Amino acid sequence: MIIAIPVVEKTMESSVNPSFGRSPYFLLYDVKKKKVSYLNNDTASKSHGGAGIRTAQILVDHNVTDIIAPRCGENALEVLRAANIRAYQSIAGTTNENIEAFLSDKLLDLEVQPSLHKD
Amino acid sequence: MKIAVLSGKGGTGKTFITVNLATLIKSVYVDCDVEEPNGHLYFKPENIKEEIVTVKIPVVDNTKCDGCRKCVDFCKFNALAYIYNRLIIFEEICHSCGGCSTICPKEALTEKDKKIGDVKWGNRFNTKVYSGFLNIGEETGIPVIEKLLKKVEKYKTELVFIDCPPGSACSVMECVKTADYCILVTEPTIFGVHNLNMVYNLVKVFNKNMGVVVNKCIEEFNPVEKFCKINELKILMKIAYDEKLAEINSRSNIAVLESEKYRYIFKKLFDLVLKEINNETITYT
Ligand code: SF4
Ligand code: SF4
Repeated sequence: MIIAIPVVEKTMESSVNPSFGRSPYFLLYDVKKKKVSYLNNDTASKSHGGAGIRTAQILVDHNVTDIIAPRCGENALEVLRAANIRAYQSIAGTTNENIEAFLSDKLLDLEVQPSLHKD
Repeated sequence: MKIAVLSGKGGTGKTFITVNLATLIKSVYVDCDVEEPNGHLYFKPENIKEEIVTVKIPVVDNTKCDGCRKCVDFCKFNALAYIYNRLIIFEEICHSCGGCSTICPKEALTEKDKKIGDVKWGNRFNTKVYSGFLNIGEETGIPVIEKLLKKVEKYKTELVFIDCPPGSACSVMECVKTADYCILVTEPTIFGVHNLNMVYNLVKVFNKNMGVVVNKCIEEFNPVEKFCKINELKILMKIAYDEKLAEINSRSNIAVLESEKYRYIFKKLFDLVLKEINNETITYT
């Protein structure tokens, strides 16, 4: 089980990035191995649109099983769904606090929101 | 001769000005504001003809696709994703560049037509009225605008008035590109100046001649005048705010057909525009 969270900085104390597709980094947490790693999301966040789709594809390719984010566009969710990735609504606080809330089953499912970015 | 009428935002009276100019003389009116075309509501054209506008969208044959992902990596709009041995195509994100089906080594991608809108045309009075309609939810109206502009290419001697989309996006550039002269419509406020500045810079890029019409003027300080002076922009006309006019517009009627006063005002504006265009042609030759 690998959790992905969009983050502002590469630390466990970072706040969750309000944007999914435009987030420069993702924190990946491997629950079994209790291992943290970070993923650069440059190719997606700097692309011409469809950034959420690209980001979702990259997460799928890294075997992510769950994501925690404040919001996520419809298209990105479609990709996540196709890959059976579950999306959870983040809570206010650090990345660490979000992971703990996730592990103790306190997070809610993320609702579908129409994409903000239009080109 | 093509004259584009632009404004930085909706609601400045761009369509009002274009419709009235186009009604004055035998001309062609083209509504390129394809997300909200309303020129036809004034003209109520007759003998309507129409054509649909389509774009090419890729379709995948999963029995041929081997998952090499060349198409996914190629698409710079990220309209494609490859998940669990299946290619997903996001039709609204696709910009119809045709690239993916060209590069697919397995010939698994072909193209289908997808309808994104219509163009309609008809006549009213002396005016030929063309309108473009973009379906709701579509990413870009440019294919509809291109089709409209192509349709009116045949009018070589007539005056063609192009009612542009508001703002300064790519779709506006399509219209400005083909124009011989641009009329910038704005309001006499600080916001008006801000929006005028946007379209002014766009028209400048294309090196087109232009003039400004300030609509809904009241007897007060008018920041547009200062802006035009600094940038050496000609103010062609200031149209005063008038309740009578607002009432005519709210009934979707055409002011120059109902009011002697507005016939005079628009005749004057028209003469000024023609003079500007002719001056330019003389200085160029
Ligand atoms: S390029 Fe062709 S074969 Fe490769 S993933 Fe795309 S559709 Fe499949
Ligand atoms: S046609 Fe172009 S924009 Fe559309 S999916 Fe293929 S590569 Fe992407």
